[in-house]
Amino acid sequence: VDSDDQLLSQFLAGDERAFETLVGRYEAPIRKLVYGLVRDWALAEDVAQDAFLRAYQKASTFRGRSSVKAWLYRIAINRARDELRQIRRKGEISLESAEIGGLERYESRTASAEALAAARELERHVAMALSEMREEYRTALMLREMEGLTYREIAELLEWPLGTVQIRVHRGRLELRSRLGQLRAPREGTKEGK
Amino acid sequence: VKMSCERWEPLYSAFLDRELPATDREALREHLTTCSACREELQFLQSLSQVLSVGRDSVEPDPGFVARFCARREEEFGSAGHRFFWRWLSVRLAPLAVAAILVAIAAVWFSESEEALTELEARELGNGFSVISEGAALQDPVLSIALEPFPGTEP
Repeated sequence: VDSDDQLLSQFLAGDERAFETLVGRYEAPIRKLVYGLVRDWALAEDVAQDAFLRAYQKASTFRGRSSVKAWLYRIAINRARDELRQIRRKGEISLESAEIGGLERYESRTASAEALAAARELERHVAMALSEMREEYRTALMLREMEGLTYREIAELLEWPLGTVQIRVHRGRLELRSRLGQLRAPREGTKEGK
Repeated sequence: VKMSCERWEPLYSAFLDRELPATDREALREHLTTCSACREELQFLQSLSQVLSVGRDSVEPDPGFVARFCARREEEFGSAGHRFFWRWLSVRLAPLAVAAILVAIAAVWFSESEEALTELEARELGNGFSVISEGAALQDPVLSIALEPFPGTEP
């Protein structure tokens, strides 16, 4: 099996099928990552396609300072970020309607139509909350949650210090929780020994 | 020794993600046995993770994705021959462009060096050390004396 670097070299030497192999290798993880950021599978497909087209167009500028995988992920993340900005500008997602405690309904869902609708509603709220989050937090969180990358892998991918990754994943979760609305009473004072 | 919950709060995510060193992990576990508020907080963050990762494991490779990519590539960048030509050109032209820039930089550098040398020569001329032409020497009062013929050598 050819490595990613070999495939990219073959592509730059004129073998288009080599790039198609790269697309096939990374389409699922990239769709998954983008879905984590935009929370819409159809949009995730479009964004992933755009990302691969951009990589195809810019392949000759790849200098090998990172892995091909990291390069593709960064292109996809940037493309998803642009998409989220457009969505926000168009006002397709508005934070005002994100006050319903969707998590509680999600946790108690069954296979009923009502529960599925609730799950969809929750997805919409999560998308709203994510679109409003600081970009660094959202990216770190999605690489962890959707891609299942370790902190070290995220650090290498985004060229951040390891400690920064740990902080951003955690703050991302806290900010998301805050944006989704407190589902329980806030903690009071010191809880030591309770 | 019991530590405050605030001490542990920044480590919750690393704990959930199994990224804490073993010693911290054990210490936090011990704290959790006595602190129900921290347990609830962690359970909440865990449920948030579950929500975020919905669909994560259900994403399978889509064989149609590559075909759709090929169709869009054709649409945006033209036929295979057209694409190959432009890529070939960009790959071949890139080193040439870099070489041209380097040559231009070198040319500017050399021209500046020559200007600097001329300035140095001018300064040296001011000190009377420069090699000068015969015509210029005849204008120089000091050298003009030296150029006068020795007495008795005139025909």
